[in-house]
Amino acid sequence: MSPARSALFVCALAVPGALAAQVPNTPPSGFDLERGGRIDAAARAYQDALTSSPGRIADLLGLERVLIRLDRLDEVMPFVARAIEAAPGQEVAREIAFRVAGTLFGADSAYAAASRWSDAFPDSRNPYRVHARWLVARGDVAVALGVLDAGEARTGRSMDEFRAHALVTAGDWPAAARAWRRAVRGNAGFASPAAANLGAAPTEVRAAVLEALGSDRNAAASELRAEVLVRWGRVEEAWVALDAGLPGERGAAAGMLRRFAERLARMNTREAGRARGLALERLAERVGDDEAAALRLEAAQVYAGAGYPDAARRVLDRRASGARSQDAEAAATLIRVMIAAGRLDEAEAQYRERRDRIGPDDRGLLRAALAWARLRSGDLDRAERVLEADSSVASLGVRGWIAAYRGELEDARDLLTAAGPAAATRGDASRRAGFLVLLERVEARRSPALGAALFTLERGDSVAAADRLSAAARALRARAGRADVLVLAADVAMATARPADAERWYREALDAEPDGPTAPHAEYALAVMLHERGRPVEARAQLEHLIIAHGSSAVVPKARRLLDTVRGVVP
Amino acid sequence: MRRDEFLGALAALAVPGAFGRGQGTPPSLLVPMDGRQSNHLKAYGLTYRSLQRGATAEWLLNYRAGSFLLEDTDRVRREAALDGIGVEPLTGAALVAVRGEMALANMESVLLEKAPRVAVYVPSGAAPWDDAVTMALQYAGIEYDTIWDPEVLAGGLGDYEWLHLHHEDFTGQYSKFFLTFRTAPWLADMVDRNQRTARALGLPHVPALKARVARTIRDFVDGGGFLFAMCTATETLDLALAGEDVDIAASYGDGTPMDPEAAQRMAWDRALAFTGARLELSPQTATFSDIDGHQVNNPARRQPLGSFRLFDFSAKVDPVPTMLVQCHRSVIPDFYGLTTSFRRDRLKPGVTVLADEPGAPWAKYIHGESGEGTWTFLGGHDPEDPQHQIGDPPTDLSLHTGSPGYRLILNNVLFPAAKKRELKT
Repeated sequence: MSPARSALFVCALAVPGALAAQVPNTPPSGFDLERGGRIDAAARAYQDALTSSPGRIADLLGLERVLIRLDRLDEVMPFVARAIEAAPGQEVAREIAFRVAGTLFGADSAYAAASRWSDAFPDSRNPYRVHARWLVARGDVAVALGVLDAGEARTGRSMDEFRAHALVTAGDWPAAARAWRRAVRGNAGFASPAAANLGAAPTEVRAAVLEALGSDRNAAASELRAEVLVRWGRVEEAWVALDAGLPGERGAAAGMLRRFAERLARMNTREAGRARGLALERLAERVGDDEAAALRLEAAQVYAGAGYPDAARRVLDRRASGARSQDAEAAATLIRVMIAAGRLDEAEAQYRERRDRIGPDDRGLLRAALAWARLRSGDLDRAERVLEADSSVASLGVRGWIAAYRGELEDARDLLTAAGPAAATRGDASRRAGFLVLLERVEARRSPALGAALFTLERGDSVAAADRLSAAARALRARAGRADVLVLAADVAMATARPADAERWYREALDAEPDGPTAPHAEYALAVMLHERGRPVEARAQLEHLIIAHGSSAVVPKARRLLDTVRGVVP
Repeated sequence: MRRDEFLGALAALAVPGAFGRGQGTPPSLLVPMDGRQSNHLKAYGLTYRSLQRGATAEWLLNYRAGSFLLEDTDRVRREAALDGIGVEPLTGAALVAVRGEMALANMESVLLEKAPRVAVYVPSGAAPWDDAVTMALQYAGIEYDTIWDPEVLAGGLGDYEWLHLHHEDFTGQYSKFFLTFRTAPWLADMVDRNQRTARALGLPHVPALKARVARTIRDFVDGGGFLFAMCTATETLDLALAGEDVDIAASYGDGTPMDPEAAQRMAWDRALAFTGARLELSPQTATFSDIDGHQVNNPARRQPLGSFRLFDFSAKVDPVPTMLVQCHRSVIPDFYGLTTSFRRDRLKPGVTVLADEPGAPWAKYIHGESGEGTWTFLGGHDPEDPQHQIGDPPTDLSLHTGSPGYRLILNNVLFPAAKKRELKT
């Protein structure tokens, strides 16, 4: 390093220290002291700041806060007076003066402070609003309403929203509703606070509130009525109220309908779904063709999701046979709605008729859905026919299950393996993976008895399935799937409230293969059953054996938790 | 025991001699207490039960966040496996390396010899789920007895080394919930049980009963007992001790209003931790004095929750506070209680602050001596339920197996295990 560069480096090192030494220690602000809980010191800091800058409203507010906590509010008064003088255009200083006067000296002083404030700001509604709110908090609602009347007369501006709040506090809900109605008609922006306010009306006054809200066709008033009804859970009435008040102007009406539909999208009731579907249909009548088609599709989906398949079909029929009959999504939705409604012949006919308009992905999914529906109805042959020569992943999966239910276990293994992990839902994927694990354990190439038992289970006859599964298991070799199928039989028995059978089969499974992959699950399930049946000593022994014998099993953490419950050391 | 005597005893208990061990010693199991431990809370129970069976153990202060060294037996391994407690077998050479590392750092090994006999002050039949200490003891698998006013006044504390108090109100005002919850069945039960007990013991009212109990508890500490208190038991115990001759109870406690001059008549020299507090005069406000910095039930004074920081102590010079702050976290989120914290300006001189909130005028965790014994106070109700309300569901500690706040409680349970001498009481 040259001498010159070396000297520069030394300077650079020295300067920050020198600067630091020159900076005076800045005392902490009142706000920092207040946050740190040093209230006395904060008060002094705020006072110092206001002495040098009397118009700093943030410090004045801080001083008011800390003096209240110190029970020395009177000390703020000279600072308020100086702030009003230093910043005559600041209404906040007047508001603080009002609060101090009211808190320290009561109603007369509050009135005087409010009068001085309104004299200084003759156009402002704030003095009346703050004074009225203060009176309402004291229970003087009648006086508060008088203050608001005076304010309205003097400023020439409506005080209805403040009046409504005061009336609600007094419990006069119908009068509050009338005030809100006037406020909303004057300014539609008040609809939301009005609905929130009136939404809290007790059941016994709701009829009077509705009457007070009126039934005129003013759009803002109709929207308020609808929103209040939604908040009361009377969604269909809300739709009627909204629909009746829709304005002729398309844009305004569309806005109301959109807000209503979005509001209902957050509700999960059947009624909300229906009302939302109706709103979307009505909205579709007020927008352009492209958006209308999308809205009708959305309406159909909403109807279908809410359990109104006929309404969904009506909308889709109109859409699918209309000008945009090539719309693949509409056709696919229609077929899905029919499958969900169990109208399989009709769905199959629709599929055949419209299959060419539907994209290949949707076609595969629809075929699989139809095949599953046929399969669950007990018709394996027809299920297979629906799949045609389809070799999509979805179809391979269904074919695998069909093979399994026929007892062709090796074919089932191959098909399900070829289908891979992808499935329509995560639930389907994990179910398929779990079933593949079972098939891998069962070494037999075919077992019609096991296939029939599994098919019985698929069709929902759990009681018969459990017996058939246990019988099929006994035909398997001890370490070639017997334990696995017995555990499945026991799980089904547990789910159908047959604990004695479940216990017997779990124990048989553990005898057949005490160190097999299903042993931890069998031991855990057995412990759960013993615990639930009031046999804690046996449950505890089973859990301790499980944790010690299968320490690395994924079941162990929940076994430990159950052990804590059995011991009574957790609630 | 005076502080210097106690330190002398601990110095004797620390195991520098053991540093010579290694080869030829029985195999050991290290129970690490740092981030690699999977169940910190149950590790205390494992150690406690090992002591209970007559084995000795070592508490390796500041070594991997306060690990334990246990004898390596099949029983200990089985219990650790069942409870999911991480343990590491140590060979003789590995143990020598551990001891070498500890000798050069702010670490110390303290011999644990005897499982302390634990008493929890609650009415019989009370469920454990509303008291952080009983939940911790129960979850960790540490045995305890419950003891209440009749047993305390009959001299029952003499059977125990360690006593825990939680949210009892020793001013006899039912935690000042009387006016708010007077129609609630649980409060009616509490009032009835306390009044019946006072009558049965020949005392005129509940505040007199609680004052007598408070004095007996202080005698237990003075005689060499270990006291650990949380929540409102901390503050009200001292108020009851200092106000034994003063009417500090509202009329629903003793039939007469509080003495307006009560604050001036308090005898703070009788209290364990606090001095000079201003009493809350309103019978409706569920706070007792200005000892608590947070004032959770006083809307005008309520302070928000922050975090508290555990202090570092020299393990070799100050093993007692070091034991009490062993933890794998040094900063812990705060939690409310009827008494949440302790204002520094209300602490007596000589009180050791174990944890505080940086920048705030209060401490969270304090410790001190009285006579031959020691007391430790931790503010707040439940470390894993920071805003606990009456009627909230109980905390399930199996979901908080590494709770640093609960570790502080369990440090206190094992702390008396390091004391060699029998109690004098």
